[in-house]
Amino acid sequence: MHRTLSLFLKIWMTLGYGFLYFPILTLVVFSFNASPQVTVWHGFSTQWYGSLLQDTVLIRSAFVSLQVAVLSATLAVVLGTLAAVSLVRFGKFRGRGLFGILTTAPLVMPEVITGLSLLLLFVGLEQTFGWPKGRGILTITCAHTTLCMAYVTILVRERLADMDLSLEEAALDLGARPLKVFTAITLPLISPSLVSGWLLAFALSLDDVVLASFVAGPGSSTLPMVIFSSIRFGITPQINALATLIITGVAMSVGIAGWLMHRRR
Amino acid sequence: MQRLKRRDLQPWQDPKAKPYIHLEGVSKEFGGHVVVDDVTLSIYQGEFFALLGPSGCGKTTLLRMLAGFEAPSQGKIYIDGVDVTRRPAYDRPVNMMFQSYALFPHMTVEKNVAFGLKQEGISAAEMKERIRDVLHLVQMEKFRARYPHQLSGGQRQRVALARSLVKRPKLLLLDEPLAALDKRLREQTQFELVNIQEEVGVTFIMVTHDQEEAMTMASRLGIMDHGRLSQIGTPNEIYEYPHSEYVADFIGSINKFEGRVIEEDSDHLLVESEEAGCELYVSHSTNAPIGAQVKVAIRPEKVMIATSPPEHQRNATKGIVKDIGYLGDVSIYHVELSSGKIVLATQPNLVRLAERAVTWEDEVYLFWRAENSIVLSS
Repeated sequence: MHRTLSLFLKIWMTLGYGFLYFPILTLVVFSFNASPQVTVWHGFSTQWYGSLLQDTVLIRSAFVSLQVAVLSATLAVVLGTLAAVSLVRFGKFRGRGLFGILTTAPLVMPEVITGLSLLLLFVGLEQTFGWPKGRGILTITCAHTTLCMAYVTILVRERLADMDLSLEEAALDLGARPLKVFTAITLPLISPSLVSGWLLAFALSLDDVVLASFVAGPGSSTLPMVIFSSIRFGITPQINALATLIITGVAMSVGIAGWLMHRRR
Repeated sequence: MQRLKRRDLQPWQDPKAKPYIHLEGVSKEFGGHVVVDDVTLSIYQGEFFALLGPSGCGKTTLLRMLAGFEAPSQGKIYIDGVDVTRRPAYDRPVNMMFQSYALFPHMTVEKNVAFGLKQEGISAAEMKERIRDVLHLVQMEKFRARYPHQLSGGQRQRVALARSLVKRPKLLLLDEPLAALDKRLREQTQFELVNIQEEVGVTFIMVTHDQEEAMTMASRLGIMDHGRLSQIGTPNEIYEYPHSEYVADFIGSINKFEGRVIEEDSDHLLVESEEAGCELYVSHSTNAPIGAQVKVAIRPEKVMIATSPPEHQRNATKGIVKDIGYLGDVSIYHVELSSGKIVLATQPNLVRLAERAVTWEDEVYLFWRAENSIVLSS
């Protein structure tokens, strides 16, 4: 049944979405502002995108963020897939329920708590074993992996549960050993969820500021951390330009992830 | 290759024949629930054996144990004299055709068929030849580059068959092979599958819940009920001489009369039945003693209808036609006896509908030949 929305609902909807997206839209628009003032429009210009390239602090932090995002997304996909396969394919082993809860718990855990506990862990490890030496890209990657892995596990678990079990049985029946079945049949068939899981993890890692703030060390500030600290000295159109780039990047990776998840053969 | 014809192949009647597939007291429990219960079964080389039963009777579990996907809780499985009970699925000379066909969606027809051969490590030339031969056998050469989603249901079924046959297994298992096809295609495919089986000479075991399919295709059937094999025999034996009420009911429809044995001899049995309204004479003996309560059964197509009384008194009764089911080639008459019992009688429609002698509410005589009735144990 096709129903048109009443005028009242339309107004509410416009207000709601406006509240959510209008600020982002202004942010994007003002990134092309010719004036250094963020609130007054003085004509179109791309100068702030140009000056971004001159800012070595921002560039370096962007590079740190990218490195962390690529590493933690990759690690999260590997670990998350292993966790999902053991949850779905290994039958009812002892502690399976607990394992499932523990794997996905970081989703609902307050990031402040996760961040603080990881910081304590890294400090404790350094004092006891002398590793990791200080905090930096490695520790941020570890922190992001714990969070992202939970998302990947859920994505891959759904995909595996949807997959016809007889496909794997057929491969076994045709003489393929279990490892071969996994690489030749299971992996290709769940690959869309691996790619979308990677992209989702990448986006999550790229915009995280809470976890990173806890476990980052000197000289390893991520891009969101730099933005966050810079707004204390006032917003510049340069930040707008950067934010616009990040929004574009994140929207693209989430969009591709969604498209891959819903694509039907 | 010598082509074995169905009618020549009856190794189960040869006492010297060695079983090719042998199940010895095989049972399977799932969490205390017995799904397959002490099944002992011998199947001979080149047979087309069908396991028939309602859903949940354990037939699929039995098939999965043969394939190696489930391990029996008890018992042993031998294939060609070798104990394979503990062998994993990838190490058995057995292939399976799945109900869903389980074609790998990310591979072409050719890659699907090649998958099993690749695991064997045979030469590229031989592989190519075997793939070509098997695709020719199922008439799918033209579709070798297609992906499964580009094929129709019938074509997928052929590819699945080719994929499992190309390994030249000692035993091919078919799980409801035709269930995913529509009725017309199913009937056509039944004969094709039998022809292919005769051509390749591989032993087939099929699981189905469709009795017509099992009767048409199989050399022998095993009827399963609650994890047990109720009866094993040729389609003809199962239909004409069911051992039990369960088997008689499961295959086709049948009229049953309750009665009491009043005369028993080595060549016949006489049963008094109020339900039938006559004495029932059965021209084969059973071990039922005089006075025992038995059920005498007669298939509807063996019951004859007449408007005048037959000459003999036994195996003859009368009733009123209550309903006529017109199926085109035959009509099924529902005749109510004075006891209230409804008897089904199937008659070929030799004349056109308007010209036939018997119609609704007519009084008719029903009778049958003594050798066509069966005594059932409950």
